[in-house]
Amino acid sequence: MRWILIGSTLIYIIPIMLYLALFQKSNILWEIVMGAFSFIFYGPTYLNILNIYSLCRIDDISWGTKGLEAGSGGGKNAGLKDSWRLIKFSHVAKYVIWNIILAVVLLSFGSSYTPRFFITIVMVVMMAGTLALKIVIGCIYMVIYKMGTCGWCKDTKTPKIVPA
Amino acid sequence: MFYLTLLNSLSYFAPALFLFTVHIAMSAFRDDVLIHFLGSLITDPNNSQFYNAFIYTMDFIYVMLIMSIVFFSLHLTNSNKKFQPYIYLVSTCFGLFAICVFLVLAVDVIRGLADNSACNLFLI
Repeated sequence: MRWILIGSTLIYIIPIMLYLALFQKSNILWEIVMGAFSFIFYGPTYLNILNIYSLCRIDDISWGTKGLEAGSGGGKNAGLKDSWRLIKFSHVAKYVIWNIILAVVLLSFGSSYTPRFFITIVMVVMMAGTLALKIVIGCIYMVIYKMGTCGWCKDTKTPKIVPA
Repeated sequence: MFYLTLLNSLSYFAPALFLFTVHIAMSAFRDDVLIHFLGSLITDPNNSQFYNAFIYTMDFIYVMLIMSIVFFSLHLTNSNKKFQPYIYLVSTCFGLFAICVFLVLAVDVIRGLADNSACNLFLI
């Protein structure tokens, strides 16, 4: 598991080196170093607080939903707000209950040595797998983007300047 | 589709998974830091109520923060003047938890590489 963790960290070198090779800009290194601390610090906020807030405000139709002003007017959408609120409470209750169940299971089985090892290695492998997949897709996109902007690919849709 | 489903499930269960991670990190913090610095005051770490209560107090604080975020998110909006500083406070607490987890992982990995042996707590 130690090497999975080290590999998860060192795999970031691949897109950095690819970016340096393709775009020849070294300022990205300094940005990554400076952004790593804030990335770790704000990770739980992105994962937990924003998810919880968005789930708890899923019935908020005060923006971007023209024609769906529910409830107070007494029109055909009257009562829509109440039904959405009921759906929201149902989803939030499921979210809280499932997380409580999983936390109890993890903490109960994780109190002894062997189950903790399997739980931790499953978590690490899942996170390393998603990270590796994300980096592979990112590298492919970077290469395709570079091919499109440099004219390597003949099917590029970049407009050509025709001299008069 | 599999990738998106996996990411959705991971983010859905993120509070429980982060609680488990914080629990293990606080166990390592207790064994490596608290017992080391308070060893002269509390001589028997295995039977000390203080050491045993430390991890569960941290878990309790984490659960209370999560539940309070759920409660306030249901009843207040982001423009509320009392909700904004509370969000910043909880975000800072979670950030400190994440930094603790990162430091514990880094210390255990470096120690495991230096000693060339498995860590007893994380099995890294």
